[in-house]
Amino acid sequence: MKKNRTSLCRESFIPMRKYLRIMKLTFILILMGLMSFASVTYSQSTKLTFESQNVTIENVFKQIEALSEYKFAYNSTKLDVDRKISLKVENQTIDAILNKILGSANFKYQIVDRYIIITDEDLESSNSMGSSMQQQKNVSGKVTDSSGGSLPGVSVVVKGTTNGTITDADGKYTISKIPEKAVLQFSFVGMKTQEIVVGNKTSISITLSEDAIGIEEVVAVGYGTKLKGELTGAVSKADNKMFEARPVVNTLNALQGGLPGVTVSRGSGRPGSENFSMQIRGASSINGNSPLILIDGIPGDLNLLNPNDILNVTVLKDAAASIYGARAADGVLLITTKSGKEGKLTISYSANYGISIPAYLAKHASTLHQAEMFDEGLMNLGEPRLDPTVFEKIKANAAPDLNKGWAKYLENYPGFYGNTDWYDAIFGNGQQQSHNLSISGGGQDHNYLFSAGYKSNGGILNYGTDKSELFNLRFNFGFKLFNDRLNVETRTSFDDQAITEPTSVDGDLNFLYSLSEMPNYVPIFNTQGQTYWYQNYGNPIQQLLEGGKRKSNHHKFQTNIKADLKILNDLKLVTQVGINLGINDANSNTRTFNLIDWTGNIFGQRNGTNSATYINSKNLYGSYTAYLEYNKTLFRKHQINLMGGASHEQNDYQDQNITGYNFTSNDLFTLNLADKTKTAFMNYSGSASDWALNSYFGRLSYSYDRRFMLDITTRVDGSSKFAPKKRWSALFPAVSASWNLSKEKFIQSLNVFDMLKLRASWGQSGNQNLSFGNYDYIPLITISGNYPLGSPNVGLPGAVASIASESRTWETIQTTNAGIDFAVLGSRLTGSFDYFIKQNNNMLVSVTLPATLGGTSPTQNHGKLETKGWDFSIGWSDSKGDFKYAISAMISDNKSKLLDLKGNDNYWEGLVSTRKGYPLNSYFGYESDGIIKNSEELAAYKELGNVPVNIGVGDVKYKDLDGDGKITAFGNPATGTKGDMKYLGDRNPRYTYSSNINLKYKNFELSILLQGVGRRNDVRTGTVSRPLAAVWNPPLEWFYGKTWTVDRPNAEYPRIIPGYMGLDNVQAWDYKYSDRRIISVAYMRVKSLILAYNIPQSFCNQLKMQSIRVYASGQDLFTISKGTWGNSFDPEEERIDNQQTYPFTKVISFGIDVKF
Amino acid sequence: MKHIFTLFTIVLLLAGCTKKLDLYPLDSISQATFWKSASEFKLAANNLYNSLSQYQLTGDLESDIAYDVDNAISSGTYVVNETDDHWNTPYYYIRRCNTIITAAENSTVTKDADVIRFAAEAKFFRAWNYWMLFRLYGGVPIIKEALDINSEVLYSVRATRKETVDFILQDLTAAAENLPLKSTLSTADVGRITKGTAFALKSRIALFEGTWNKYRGSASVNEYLDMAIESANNVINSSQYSLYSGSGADSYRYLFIEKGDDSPESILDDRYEVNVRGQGMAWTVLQGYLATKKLTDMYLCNDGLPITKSPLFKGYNTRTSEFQNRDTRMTMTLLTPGSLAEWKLFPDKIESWPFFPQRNSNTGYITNKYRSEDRYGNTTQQQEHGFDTHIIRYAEVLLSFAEATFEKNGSISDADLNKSINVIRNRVGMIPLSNAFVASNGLDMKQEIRRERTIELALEGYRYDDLRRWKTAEIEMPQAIRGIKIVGSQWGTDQIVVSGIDKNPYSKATYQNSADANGFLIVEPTQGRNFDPAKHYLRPIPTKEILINSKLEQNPGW
Repeated sequence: MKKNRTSLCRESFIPMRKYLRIMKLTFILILMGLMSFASVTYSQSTKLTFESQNVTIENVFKQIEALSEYKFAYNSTKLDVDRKISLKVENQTIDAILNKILGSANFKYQIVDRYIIITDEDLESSNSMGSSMQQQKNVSGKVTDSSGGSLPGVSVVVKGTTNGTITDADGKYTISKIPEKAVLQFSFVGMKTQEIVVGNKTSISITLSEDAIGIEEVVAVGYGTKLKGELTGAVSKADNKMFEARPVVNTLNALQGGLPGVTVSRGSGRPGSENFSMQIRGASSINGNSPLILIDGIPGDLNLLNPNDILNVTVLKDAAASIYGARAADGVLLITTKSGKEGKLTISYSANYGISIPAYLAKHASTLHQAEMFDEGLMNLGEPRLDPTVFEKIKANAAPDLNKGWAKYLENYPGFYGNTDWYDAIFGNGQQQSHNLSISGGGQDHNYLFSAGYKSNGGILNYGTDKSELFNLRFNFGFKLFNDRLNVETRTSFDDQAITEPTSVDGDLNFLYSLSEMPNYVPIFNTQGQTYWYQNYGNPIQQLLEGGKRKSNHHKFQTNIKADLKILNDLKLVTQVGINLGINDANSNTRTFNLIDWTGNIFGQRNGTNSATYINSKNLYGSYTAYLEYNKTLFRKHQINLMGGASHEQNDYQDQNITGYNFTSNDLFTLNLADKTKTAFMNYSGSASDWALNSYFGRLSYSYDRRFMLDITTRVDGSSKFAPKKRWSALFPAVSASWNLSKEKFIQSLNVFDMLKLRASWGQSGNQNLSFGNYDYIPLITISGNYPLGSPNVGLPGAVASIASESRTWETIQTTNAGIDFAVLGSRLTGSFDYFIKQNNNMLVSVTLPATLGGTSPTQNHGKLETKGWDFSIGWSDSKGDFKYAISAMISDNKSKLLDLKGNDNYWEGLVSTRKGYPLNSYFGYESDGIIKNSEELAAYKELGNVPVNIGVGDVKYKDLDGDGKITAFGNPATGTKGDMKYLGDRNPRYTYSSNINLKYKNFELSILLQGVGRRNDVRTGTVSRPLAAVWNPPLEWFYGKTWTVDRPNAEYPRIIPGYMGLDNVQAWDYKYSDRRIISVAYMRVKSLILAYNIPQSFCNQLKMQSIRVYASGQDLFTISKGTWGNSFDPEEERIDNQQTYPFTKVISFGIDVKF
Repeated sequence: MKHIFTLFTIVLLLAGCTKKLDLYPLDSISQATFWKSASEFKLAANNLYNSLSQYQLTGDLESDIAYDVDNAISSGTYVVNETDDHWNTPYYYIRRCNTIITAAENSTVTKDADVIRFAAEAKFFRAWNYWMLFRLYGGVPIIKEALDINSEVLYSVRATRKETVDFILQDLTAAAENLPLKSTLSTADVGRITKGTAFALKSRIALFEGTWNKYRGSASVNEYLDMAIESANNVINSSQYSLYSGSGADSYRYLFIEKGDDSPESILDDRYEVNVRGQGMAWTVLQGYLATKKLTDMYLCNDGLPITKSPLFKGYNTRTSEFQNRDTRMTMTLLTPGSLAEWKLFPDKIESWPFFPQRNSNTGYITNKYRSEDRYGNTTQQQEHGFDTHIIRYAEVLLSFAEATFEKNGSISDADLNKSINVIRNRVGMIPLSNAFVASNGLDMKQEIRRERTIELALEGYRYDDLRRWKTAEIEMPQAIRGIKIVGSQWGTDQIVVSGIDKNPYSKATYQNSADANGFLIVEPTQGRNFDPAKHYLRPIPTKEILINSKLEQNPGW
């Protein structure tokens, strides 16, 4: 036996010093100080005690792996690991133990930190002597893992021979005497084996990817980690590839389509205010669905997290989440950030520049079409038609008539005949860019990662500046003390988001509102070239340019220290303290600006009293956790893991809000310049609140020979949000088990499955993230308002007593899950299927009480909701020579049903969030019976009661479903009728899916992410939902030629009835909620498309770089959807009642990643 | 070292877990600690004033004397709502009133005169909010305390009409007892509820119910009419009030804008102040809250005779002829076309036409009431005028007194007329009304009293209630809405040249085609107007309420 110990410690210091001289960064100095702790190596300090009787060598290795942090690497074709041995060791070092095991065999071992690499001596010696071979050469190279870290201990063998070696600490290898036609085989535990044809190459560097089955992959679970093969719950994981090389400026955006069962949707394209929302496995409550997001174990904000810092994301979807108790109802997302790896310092830099292009802009009817539709409306109303000259002038693009408008109510204002697409004028292309720098490395007992990120997301406004910038700094440092008994990991990050935008992007002078009202015939500038107001139409451009500015900043400072103390070999104490400090500040001003008319006269002012508002808020969150973990293997095959602990969390929030008015200048808005002469010119307010949560939790895990796994967890939470008697009212238990069938002989004999596992789980969790306040059980007096009393008038506040309920408590959500994981065809095809039932048995519902209550009644635990669904994911990966490809797809579905509302079963026309027996967010309305085509049909239909007296030909007919001879919304219990409304469907997204396609040929890589929703129905409401809702509302081009007239008897929409011209009740009738109005907003989207080229290694080497990768990428490039109404709306748009959504964009970008 | 660390974490853990979860609000007061002093009762009472904004000056759009665009109430095309703020909002405030009243009863500081006063304010507002319900729905469930969410009382039946109105009147009586006189209000309390406010509202409601019953042949007519007279007398005899006369002959015009704030005529105002709570009436009139021909024809000529009888009436042939020789309140309510005036968004005087700067030319009349001349308000944002909305003013009390007296007795003495209607006429320089004048000119005293009420209170939101209590709505409401004379008048022929261009819309075919046989503009034809006496006198109870509480009986016809 030879001993061959490599110390990484000294080696890694050499490059460190070199860079230190160059960079002179202070943080590295600090790092150096901390690193000098390194003294005793792991292998010398770790002593093991165990006993094995007649077990295979393989199992002894596993036992050692379980007891220590060692990982074994060997070539099982060489080493007879099935040989059974008996062994008893007491407090011995690994050297001594290995000598015992391998003593008799001709094997040598090498210890590289925690890797134990076993090779056979023959192999080594044959390498050294084999000089007789002919036409042979040396091949060398480097093996890395998918994140670019070097992989030591990889076995490199010439296929079909015994010739081979193992990579060194830097992942490098040299193998000699290789025939030309040889194939090199690279293998490593937990990684996919790869084969490369040598050909005439002398340098072969490869990246090993993790084994798809990834049995040995470590997955974060609640308060600990597990090997993937030992998981019992529905847990999915995504790695950093999802976040890298994509032009995403937000983590949530990157998660879209990334994990089975996780639905991410966007609310807007407005930079910094995209309103992402995330749902795991559909609705579990009507009271908001927000998964618990834990970044390195501490709740955090995904909006501010730098996506490049993410190492991996795990989602706990079923009982696995229950360990987080009261906040786990909607699942838990565990995010682990990257940390430095043992090895030499790595510097990587990535940059991306992108152009964002508005994808869906509302299309108002052209002037000619609007005039035609208006004229059609006049005809329908029996009013005098438009003067034919109007059409001629429009066609001729005639000059405006100074005081003779042709539109209703605008007859005395300038009449225009041109055509301007205001949306095109206001929105253009935006720019976005991102830069990331990371420096990482580590030694035997420390690791470090420093990263800095900058992302800028410029809006698409052509007027005014709007952009969001994100600055991220992170320093993750880990170190070990006391002979590695104490392992400390620190995570510190500072995030800053700065949003600059015109004040008019929302609020009183919202430019999107003005834009949605603006007809195409109105020119942008008046005769003097000024931005002007046409009658009462606000000018969106002037609002953007002159309405004022807003700057808001979100600062977040997070630090988190986790310490692992090995008290005994089997017993570990883990403590974690996390502090998040969030500070938001915003200042916005409204400027006074003049209203100018068509001829340039000033006719008024807006924001006559200018003002500036300063808002500050501070949120301090602290989390203190400690738990004990006990590991024991009994009778060789029984592994027991016990964990128990407690945590305390506390949150304090406060804000201040100051508004000053009547500033002397319209450009300077510091508060000292505000008018202080009147009390009415000073306005300040503030609020403060806090909450606390105490928890006790525990887990018992049992594993039998890694065939049968069982987890039992429980958690008790006490929350300050509930009345004392309800405070500790819930205990959240969970049980889950899995059975690894592929370890059973009868499955192995089938020779089909490389892996087959069954899982089942049941668990309860709570929903505390509800939309109610922190003190709702206390009847409060709210003091607010400003009613002027006295002389001189002073605004006096008033006090109102709230209605409280002491009996409310958590919603308890029970999740039952059954799943199967499999791998076949040499693990090239892998998949997973889960079926689940989520039951919310005491959902807080806003109980509708009679108005005689005189207030909004507090929600009560009266609802019962059931959501059933499934997640399916499948992946195929293979390679053919230089061509590698991988395709994966995932699809999820769920359907909710409200089971009980304790008699509070109300519904109405339109969207009903809760009705017993129906899914959440269901539509109710009438069943249409076509459009009235002639006077006979009209007369016949008017026989029905409750039909408007003034209904006419071209209007909609609805069916009298209950046959009572009249159209009634509700039935009459006295006569036994049911009313004429029926269920029209729900608006929940169904069959959400995504597919990832990765192709790699030599140095080229192409990856495509498709994402979509298979079925979704919705109803557009508000002024956009019908042509000329009010006669002054510009109709959408979509409706042109689609409305009923005598010439279009089969039109899709009823006749045009312009609003506010006397027949509003008929317009409302035609657009009652009915099956006519349901549209499909299902979609399929090319979410991301990346074409990358890896610069050849030899060239990189010349530049003294590890790797260079350049790519072009597209985000949201193409979308297929039926319900966009002529590309006026994005199918993903959540707020569908008007045109006031800041448009979504597609992004085309170019980027480079370099590694030193 | 190891032990120290273990100890440290355990201490940390214990400190964390024993920390109390009893957290109390940091920015609100708990009810348990409130209601300790009179100032807290006052704070609670302040909030109730917000319930006054349920009163809408634009309520006349629901009647026959004002028009803007098609109004479902006015045209009788409204349907049963699922929910209705007319039903919900009063109950919101009733709860708040009940909370204060109960707290005052249970308070240890009960004897504090101020606590009693603010409890009385709460009673007034409870009455006000029940009145808001009663006028539209009739009898409603009476809730006398802030109910718990599990209370059975939530599912009460509707009280009868009489029970409801009696409950309201009783609250007002109780409130009046403990409220101060207007003259005793400190400057900081100007605008608060006074004794006079309670009596004035009582007079209004008693007159409403007395006449309602009278014209439906129901019992309890004189009981309420007496109460109306007595309450009005309480106000009149209190010497706290008089008509606003601070702007001389134009006092009636300026009463409704800035100058008329806090005048001796104010009994109950919904109060506004620039930058505190701005109001939008000036904007509303610019948009077009328009008088109809029915209203304009009601104005007497300045000889005291109606246009049908007076030789002074100049007819409709010119744009200004109908405004000549009329009660001056006509031109103080409506602008004579072509006159110079300041408008919202037009701070400098400009020629005023029905279509410019007023934006709605529907009836052809230009609204002058509530048209502010305040330059600041006119140049700034929409909702930034500070003048108050008069909800009860002294003139109404005088009118109610005259009407109740007449309705009760079938006649009214000249002395009573002089005490009431003639005070109002005197302000605007109209000749007094007397029994002799009525007799000698073949007029009807009842009609003249009703005319006076309609004219004086025009565009203040009284007409819809008046027509319903007089039971004349079924006659008046289905009539076509008419405007100015456009065929055979100057409107139909002459140009109106502004900035060199003819802007007169009425001469155009669009309008010329929509005139009646006499040449008057038809804004809404009779076909568009419905009033079903079997159902339209009361509003339907929102369906959702009946769905939740099946004991709630729907109003007839719905």
